[in-house]
Amino acid sequence: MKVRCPHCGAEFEAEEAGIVVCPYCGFQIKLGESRTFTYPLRVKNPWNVLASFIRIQRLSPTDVEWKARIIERELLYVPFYVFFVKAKGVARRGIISKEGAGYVEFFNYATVPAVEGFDELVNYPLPVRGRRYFDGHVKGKLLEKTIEASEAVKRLRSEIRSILKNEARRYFHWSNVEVEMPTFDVHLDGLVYYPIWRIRYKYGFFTYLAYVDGADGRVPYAEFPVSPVKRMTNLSLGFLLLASGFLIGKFLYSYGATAPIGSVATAIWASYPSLKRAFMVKGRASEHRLLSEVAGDYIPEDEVFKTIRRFLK
Amino acid sequence: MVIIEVLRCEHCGAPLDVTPEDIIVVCHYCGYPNAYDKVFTEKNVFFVESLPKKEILRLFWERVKKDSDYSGIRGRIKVVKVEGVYVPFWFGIVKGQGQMRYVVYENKGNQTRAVVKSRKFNMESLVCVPARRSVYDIAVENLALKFERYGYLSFKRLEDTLRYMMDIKPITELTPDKWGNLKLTFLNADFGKEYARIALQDRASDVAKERRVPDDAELRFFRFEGETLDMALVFYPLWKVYYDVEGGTYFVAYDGHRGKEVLAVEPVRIWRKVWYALVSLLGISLAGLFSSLYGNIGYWKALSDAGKNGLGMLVLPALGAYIGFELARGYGRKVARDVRVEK
Repeated sequence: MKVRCPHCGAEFEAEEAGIVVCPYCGFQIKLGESRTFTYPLRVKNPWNVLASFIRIQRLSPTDVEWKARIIERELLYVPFYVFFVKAKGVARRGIISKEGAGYVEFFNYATVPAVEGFDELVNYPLPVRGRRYFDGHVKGKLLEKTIEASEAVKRLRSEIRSILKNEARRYFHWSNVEVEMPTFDVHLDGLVYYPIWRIRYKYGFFTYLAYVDGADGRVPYAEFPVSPVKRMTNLSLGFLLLASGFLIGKFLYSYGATAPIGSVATAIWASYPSLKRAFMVKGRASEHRLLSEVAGDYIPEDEVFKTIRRFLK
Repeated sequence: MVIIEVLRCEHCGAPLDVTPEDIIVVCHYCGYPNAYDKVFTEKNVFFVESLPKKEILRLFWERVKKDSDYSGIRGRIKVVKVEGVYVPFWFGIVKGQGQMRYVVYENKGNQTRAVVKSRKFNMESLVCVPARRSVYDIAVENLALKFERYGYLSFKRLEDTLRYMMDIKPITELTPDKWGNLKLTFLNADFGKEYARIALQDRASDVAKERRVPDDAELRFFRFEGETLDMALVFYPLWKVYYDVEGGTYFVAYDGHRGKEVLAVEPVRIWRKVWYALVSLLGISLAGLFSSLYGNIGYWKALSDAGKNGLGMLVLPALGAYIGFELARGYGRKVARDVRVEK
């Protein structure tokens, strides 16, 4: 096997196991299968990438690109454990009935940051091919791993449990679900030092945090300001719906004292999404989860009729 | 202190600069495309030819002309980026057995009783999973779903089924000349063959749930175990046309082979918002109207007069209020959004 010395860069032939000494500089190299990798840096200007991502966010003002002041821009090499997970869960219906059981599965790659403070990046879908062996030389700040693999597996277990719960809710039409995982096989595929840009920028009175993937330019997490115009639109729409609940309740009160309870409670639920958007301090978005909220959208009347049909049956 | 393997050009022996996106590495010295990934030496790896960028743009402008959601803003639409990539998909034929129990309510005379029914089924299906996690987005997911929905297992061999579906070509046909003409970036597959095999089984189990779990019965038990019989990796072209309008950026994704739309992300126009708000208002009114009955003395009197039939009368207003509540809640969520997805 041809080996490149991580110390002097010389190339030479070597056996596939044991410790060899570089014939050019005397550096000792331990041969064996390494499970530590990194990716080459491809994104040199993360602000451009971030600014165009923020522009896509519908709640953000259009002038963030020009008015924002960058106060931190640092390239981090964040360690991630890469696992291949084979999990089988038994989902049971919640509190009222425990008799239902449905089998759900998760067979896929999953990643967990090996360092504290990067909870937004749990299960970030970084590529697992094309990586390079990690030789300790990076162009940014290398973060040392602070979380052991066993601890990462515990975090992963809770993440996978929640994925399986959602799967059971979606397919079995069960509202309350508990999941046991009789099978939870985890194969550690390696440790990856992944280039991530950390950016903090100031816009108005607040400071916003964002991460940009240094290897392929995605934005795994970004906070952004909410445009006052869009805030006001949401506030007006939310207020309109809420007020209509009170007015309709008042109008129908003479037909029955319970009318305001029904209409106001419904108006609160209807106006909540608009009011939430109007009062949120910061917008938050993630490119790999982009539009998942919209993708999970449903046609309300279809859902209503399905539920009623189930109830009547 | 780790192994640093040196990758060299198969043609001239020069060292290669490899990046995460490469499945073929073009040598800087002689220009020879090297098969970096072992996947290229395996059988059952295919690619599908793509329509040119010009044609994708033509389709986009045609859509803009026809779609009523763009009325009044057509002149202000500006295409900012047209991006095409070859996305890897693993296809598989998975055969398995499933078992489920569910409750049905049967009427016998005046009595209704719950009966637990048990059913076993065999299923053989064509399933598809995106082979690269890092491009996994709503467009890729939707394309995979469309393959599953419109793919029929008309042949025994997966290769024949795929050839019928999408005119696949073996990756080995991709000579350096043809490679240069394709112009689209190939994205590497994350899943090796063994992991893909079980990921396809996972997907087949989901497909079994989608197709077999009854919508209108109470499910008690469900299990599906499958085995992957045949599998293939296909690099499929996906195009996205990003456009700017009214201060936002949206996109339309196209199946690069057929030119069909995979999905479109559009702005929510004001008339749609007004419509959603009106339906939400209707829901609030219904909820108020039906719940008013429970506070009405006349209603309770009528209920007591109705005797045994009163049970239906007691439940019906609650159902009406529920319909109103769900309509208001669902359309209330839509009112808050500035973007909609058309699949």
